[in-house]
Amino acid sequence: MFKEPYKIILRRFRDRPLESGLLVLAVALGIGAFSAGFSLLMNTVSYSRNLMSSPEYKELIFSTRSNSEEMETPVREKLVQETAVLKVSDLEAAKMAPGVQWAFVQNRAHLRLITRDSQISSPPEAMGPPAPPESAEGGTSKNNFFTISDDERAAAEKDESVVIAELDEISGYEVTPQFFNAWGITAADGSLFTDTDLNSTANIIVLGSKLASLIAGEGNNPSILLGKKLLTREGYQTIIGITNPVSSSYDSEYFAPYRDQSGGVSGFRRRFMDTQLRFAVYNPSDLDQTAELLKNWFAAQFGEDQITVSNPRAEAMQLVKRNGGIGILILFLSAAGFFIALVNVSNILISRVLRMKKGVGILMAVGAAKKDIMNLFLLETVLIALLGGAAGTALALPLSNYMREAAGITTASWLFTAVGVVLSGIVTVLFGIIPSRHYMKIDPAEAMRS
Amino acid sequence: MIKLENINKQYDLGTVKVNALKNVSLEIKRGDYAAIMGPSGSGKSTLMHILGILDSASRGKYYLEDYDVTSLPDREQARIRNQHFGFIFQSFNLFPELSAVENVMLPMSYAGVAAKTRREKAVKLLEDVGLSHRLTHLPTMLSGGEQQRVAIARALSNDPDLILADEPTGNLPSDKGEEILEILESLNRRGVTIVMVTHNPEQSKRAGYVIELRDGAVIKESDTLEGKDV
Repeated sequence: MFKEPYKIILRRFRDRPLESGLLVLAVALGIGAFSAGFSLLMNTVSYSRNLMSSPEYKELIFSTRSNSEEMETPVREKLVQETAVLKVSDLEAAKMAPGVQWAFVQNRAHLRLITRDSQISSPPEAMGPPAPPESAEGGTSKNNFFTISDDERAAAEKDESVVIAELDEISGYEVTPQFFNAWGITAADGSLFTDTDLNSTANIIVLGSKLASLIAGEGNNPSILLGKKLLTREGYQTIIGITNPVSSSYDSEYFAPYRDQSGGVSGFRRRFMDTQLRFAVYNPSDLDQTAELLKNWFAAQFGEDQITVSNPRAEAMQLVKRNGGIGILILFLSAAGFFIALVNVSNILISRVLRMKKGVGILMAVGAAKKDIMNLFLLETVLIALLGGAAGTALALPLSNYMREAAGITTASWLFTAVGVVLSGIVTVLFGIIPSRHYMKIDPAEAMRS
Repeated sequence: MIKLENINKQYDLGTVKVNALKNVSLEIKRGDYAAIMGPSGSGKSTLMHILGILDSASRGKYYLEDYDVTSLPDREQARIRNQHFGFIFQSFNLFPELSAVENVMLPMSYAGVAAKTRREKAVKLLEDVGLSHRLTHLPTMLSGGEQQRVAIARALSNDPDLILADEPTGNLPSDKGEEILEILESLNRRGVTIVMVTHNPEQSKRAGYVIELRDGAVIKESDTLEGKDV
């Protein structure tokens, strides 16, 4: 199968299992460490880039100070009497900042569903706290609890226009329409709500694609839900649209219109304290300038220290920088280890050259040119690189996976590990050329005398 | 066939320069059986390496069939060694990783001979030297005489014009040495040119032509068959 010169190399490799094994192990450890380090850094960079391109990191979030600090500061220590209440109308502030592209409210919300098995004969209060309006999470926007008797539910079950889902609770957001623009969410079926819907009192919701499929049930087209009323403890919610998939958690959530007056308890401050106004900018580099403009506007409206601004991008950048720094450090250390391994491999290969000196002379005597000799021993290096590369890959995959998870990177590409293995394999072969070149310098007459 | 003109070989050992060959001129004709004689350090092996284009002269010209080979590129020199020369060494110089038949196949692989043909020819050559029962044996499993016969088969694998034998019987008992000499003589009778380095005056007498070296210089060339200096 192989020509005789190659047989010599392969059998020499086979007949020295300890030396050959150590060579392969050194290369495997070097390639494994380098490719894992390379993969970590590249995945960190790629992940950070994706993360930073998310609409979330083009936003400024304005909230009342109490909302942002109430978990940390005891009430008696508060020096500022909070009076500010944020409303949809405050989104007008966007007009003051030319960098703002979209302005919207996005509040966390939940809907508790009435299923065929729900216990509903007792009043909702008896079933535990029914989404108190002062919920820190925003809770439900409703505080006039919807009640239904067993008979009414039996009637609802027969009603074609009512949807009774087999879920206890669904989560989502109360949003104003520009939220959809900011996140590029479009309707696959039906429609999204508009500013007009904010001024009506109709209970309407838009379902994320996955949530719609879940409620429609297996095998049913989610579009059958359109126009139907979803039975919840907060009343009937008319489903007006289903979104296109956006490959995020939004696919499993619902969206309802955010309304200042919803709940009817006008002036109940805690409810509105939870409201966060979000301003998405065209260009992330405008975030700081826009934040200043908006802060001034809010200070003028509500007084100093009433409203706080949060810049998620600035916070995320800290994390990105830290992970990037760790990635570079690990790559540097692994590259140093790889280099040391290669120097050792190169040294062992050179000592093999010296031991093979006479053999080189004989090969030349029987007809090998210097280039043939170099190619022959390059084969040995390629063999070591291939075996080391395979073992290194087996080492790199779990190692890079572990490091990636430790760095909190949720999406990763195996391509980077593969590129790392190929790169380090090439470097290994390049290092192997050094001892191979020694063969070319061997004087056959001198080799024959040795 | 071979003509050397004023070949000089100087080794540079740092501060000392050693003249291994001094103005060596000689001619070897096709079909000759030449012996190179001389004490240790007289330059026999150096001359042998230069004749085999394993080494190059510091000065002088080397003509092979009227072609100056001293300035040929490495690839071309390798082709000449492979196609026209066969080497036999005192210490056999077989590859321990290869079986007897694979050692004989080795030069043919550099000549681009197909694997099947290589094997068939190697088997035939080993049969010719009486080793048909040792084809797959590794060199370490063979006696010295058997190893040298494998080496002769290897030297013959590409049908060389010239066999360069560097003390081919030096490591063998006299009876085995005699076998090797008989093989070489039979090859010479078939027209193969033989150049053999030897210490042994008896062996040199069996050659048709003797070149005596001392301190790197040819001190005597004689035609043994006619018993006179040339």
